[in-house]
Amino acid sequence: MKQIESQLKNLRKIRPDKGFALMCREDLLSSTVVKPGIDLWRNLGLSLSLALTAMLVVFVAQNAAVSSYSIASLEKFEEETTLSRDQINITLAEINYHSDLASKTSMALSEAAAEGPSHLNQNLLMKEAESLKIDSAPDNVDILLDQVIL
Amino acid sequence: MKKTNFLIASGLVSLIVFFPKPVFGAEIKANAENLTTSVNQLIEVKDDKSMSDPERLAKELEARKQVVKDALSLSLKEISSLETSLKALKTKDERVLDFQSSSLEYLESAKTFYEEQSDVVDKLASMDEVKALAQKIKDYRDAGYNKKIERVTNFLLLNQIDGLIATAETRWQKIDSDLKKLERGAFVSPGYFDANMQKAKKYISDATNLGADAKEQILKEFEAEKISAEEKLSLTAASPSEDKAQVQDNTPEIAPKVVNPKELAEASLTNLKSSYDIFLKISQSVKKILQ
Repeated sequence: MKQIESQLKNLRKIRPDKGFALMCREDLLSSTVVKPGIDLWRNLGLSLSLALTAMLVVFVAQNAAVSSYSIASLEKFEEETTLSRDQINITLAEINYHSDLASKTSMALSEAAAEGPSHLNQNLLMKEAESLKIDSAPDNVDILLDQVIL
Repeated sequence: MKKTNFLIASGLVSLIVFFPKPVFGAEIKANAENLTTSVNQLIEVKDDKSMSDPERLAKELEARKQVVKDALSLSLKEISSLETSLKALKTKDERVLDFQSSSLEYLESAKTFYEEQSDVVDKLASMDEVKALAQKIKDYRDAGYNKKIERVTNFLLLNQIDGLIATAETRWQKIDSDLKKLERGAFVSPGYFDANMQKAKKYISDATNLGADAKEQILKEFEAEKISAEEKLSLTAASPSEDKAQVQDNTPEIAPKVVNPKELAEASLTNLKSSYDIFLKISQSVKKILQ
């Protein structure tokens, strides 16, 4: 045991040869010098792989988004289509609304310009006819215009 | 893989729907209702036998004035709505720009006319004066106002129809692209929806053509009227008395209307509606395939 201890003590005193230490130091120092050529390629490779990863992520995300499509999406499409059709109906109603306004104003002015009571007044007759309707259908044009206005 | 998860129909969803701004808004509708009410009141007063003659006549005078006032108010609101929509019209087309500026000028003159009558109506004291004023306004409207307003309204609505057509076209493109994906995925045999898609395309292109025809007709009518007015003006200025008969002869005739712009616009919209009917049919078929 004592023999081992003395041998180890002797080993502690071991020092590298001065020439060898200098050589190793120079080697180590020279190995840390940046070699631009090699690093440029390394950076380029890294950039490319990052770009490819990003593209892959976008591609996968897109596919995931599209693949989440379902019957519910088709129902949404149908809703939107119905909405577009309603807009068409509203525009159709608007086309006729001006002529309605023009004739309404014309009738009103005629009434204001006319002599005495007019029992054949269209408004009056329509009002009376309306009250006779038992199952009157709603006025489509007015309903559509209410959608635009209200 | 579930069929419902198949890579399709991205285009069948999330399309921005075009919402046209109404030419005639809520104020117009309220004014129109006021006019109906005042006309009904006038009819009732005229017919009311329960009042003494002087009492009835006084009420009738007020009721007549109210009808005239409401008619003027409705006309002024109509003008202001059209002015707003016309000013918002963005175009680089010289002909449309000309139509736009002339129409705005006309609306301004009509506004002045109605405002002048509004100032007069309250000052009138006799029944005959009110009746004469009502007739004067009616004549003004019949002489040109109604026709010009209809033209402007139709033109503005046709512009809205252009927006609706553009939405339908985008919709068609997206559905077409989705159907191709379905075909590639062998969910549908190639060409399965072709006939329907072609039919829808035809409806959309017919809607486009009808709309363009209607606009062209409006512009032509406007231009012919403008030339006619200018010629009349220059000839009258050159020889005020003797050439009057000749002026009538030289006035170029406005091209006879085959179908009016309003009917063309309606036909355009009907075609557009039919294209959407087909889109819905296709959507229902796709749904069945995917279920």
